[in-house]
Amino acid sequence: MSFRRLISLSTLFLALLFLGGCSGNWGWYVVNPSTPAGQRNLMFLLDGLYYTIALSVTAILISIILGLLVALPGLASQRPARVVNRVYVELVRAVPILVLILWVYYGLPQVADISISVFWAGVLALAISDSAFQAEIFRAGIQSIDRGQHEAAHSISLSYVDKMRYVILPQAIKRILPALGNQLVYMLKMSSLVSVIGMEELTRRANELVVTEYRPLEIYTVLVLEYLVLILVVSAAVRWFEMRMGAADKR
Amino acid sequence: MRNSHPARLSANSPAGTGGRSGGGDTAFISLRNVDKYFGDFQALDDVSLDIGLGQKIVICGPSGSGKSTLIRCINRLETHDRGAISIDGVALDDGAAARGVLRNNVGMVFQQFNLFPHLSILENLTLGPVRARGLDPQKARELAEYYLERVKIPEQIDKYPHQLSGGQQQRVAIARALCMEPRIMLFDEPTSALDPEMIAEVLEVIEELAGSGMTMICVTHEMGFAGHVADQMVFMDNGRIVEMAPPDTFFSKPESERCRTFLQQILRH
Repeated sequence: MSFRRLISLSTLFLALLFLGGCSGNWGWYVVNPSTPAGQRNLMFLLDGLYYTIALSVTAILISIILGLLVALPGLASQRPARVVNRVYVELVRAVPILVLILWVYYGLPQVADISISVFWAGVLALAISDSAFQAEIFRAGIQSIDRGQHEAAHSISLSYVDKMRYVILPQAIKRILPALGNQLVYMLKMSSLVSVIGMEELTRRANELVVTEYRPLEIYTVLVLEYLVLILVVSAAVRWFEMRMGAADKR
Repeated sequence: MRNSHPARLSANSPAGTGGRSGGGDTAFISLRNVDKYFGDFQALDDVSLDIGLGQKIVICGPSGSGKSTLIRCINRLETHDRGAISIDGVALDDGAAARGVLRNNVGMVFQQFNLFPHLSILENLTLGPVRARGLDPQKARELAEYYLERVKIPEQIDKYPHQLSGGQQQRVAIARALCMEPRIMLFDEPTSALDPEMIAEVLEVIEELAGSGMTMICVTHEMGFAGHVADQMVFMDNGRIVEMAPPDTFFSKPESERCRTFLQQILRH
């Protein structure tokens, strides 16, 4: 169903653009796949897809782990642990992603006396930024699990780690899956910001091509389409996955 | 029951090693002047109680009287604020010794069953033995099969909790507790969440367990069952133990007015 919507949306969008192209103000030749130059340009743009995906997926995996590690002290009964959680979440949420990217790339190497590649600076900044949201998602998910589950785990003497691993988290993750899917989509979009430090992902590629071809309208339109298709595909995959989990639940 | 179990002797269970105060006159579980507060509300007020190995205690009383809190303090689902609770001579506190004594001795069955919904019946039963007792999975499986047989639903082993009726779920919960091979079972209103037609099948399993010599503390309003099973009836009100007597005395001539009133109300229909 969502796939059909994706196709119809994309076609509609393309049709509108080509109608516009007929007026003469458009110069689709820059990305015309039937000419060698246009084909080269198109491939140049599409090549950025690899880094956009690699960046987002790596960052979201790290941010899930980081988010879980931050969420757990937030659920502790000891006040200091909860304070650590609050401070982290509030601080990280207050920093704009773009600012964090710049700081991690240009600032962190000086502070920590390390060298960091553009890719890992981008991953780190995105992951840290997202981890605060992941932590809140995990906290809500874990808190939604009935108290009786904790008590039952206690009654069979499971350790805290075993209780989380075998009883609480498997149930919590099922519930927060839609939210995690949203975060992945969000991450794909935010990864465009890493272009400012020179990451050769979709947005950077488009910027570079614009500088050489002077055709911002057409090239950025292709960029919009690239993100649109990417994100519609990912959303559909997330929904499919959720449906499968839901079906497994009704077993 | 303990000796008849196939995995028992080879099981790597500390409960199998000696050094126990077996039965006799010393109390296996002892509560001394226990107080428990929830904020300003005093849930337990100077509760003292001794329970020997093999004894069966049934606790009753109006809601909010502290019955559940009492048994929840015995496996440290709640921590008491004053007084002392000890099991097998080990004081219950935050220490490792207390955790060990709970792991090896105390099982619990809840009103709401609290089975793990994402795990199969087998996995529900083996999780504790494998992760907390360190049994190998094959031994744990034998244990699970054995206890499912005892609660009379061996055929449900590969199903999931939601596929079972309430009575079956509660019997699985009893088997799950038994798989830890405890010496004491705590029952917190085990039939209160059940449809009437399923109460009997659960009570029957608990009675058989009582017959096998298991030490039990059971909070329940099933007075017929209590009369069969209990060595001692305990009546609680406002966090205090108001009356404690063997069932025949307890039901025929309760001493306190409050207990009399309570029994009249509960036995009226």
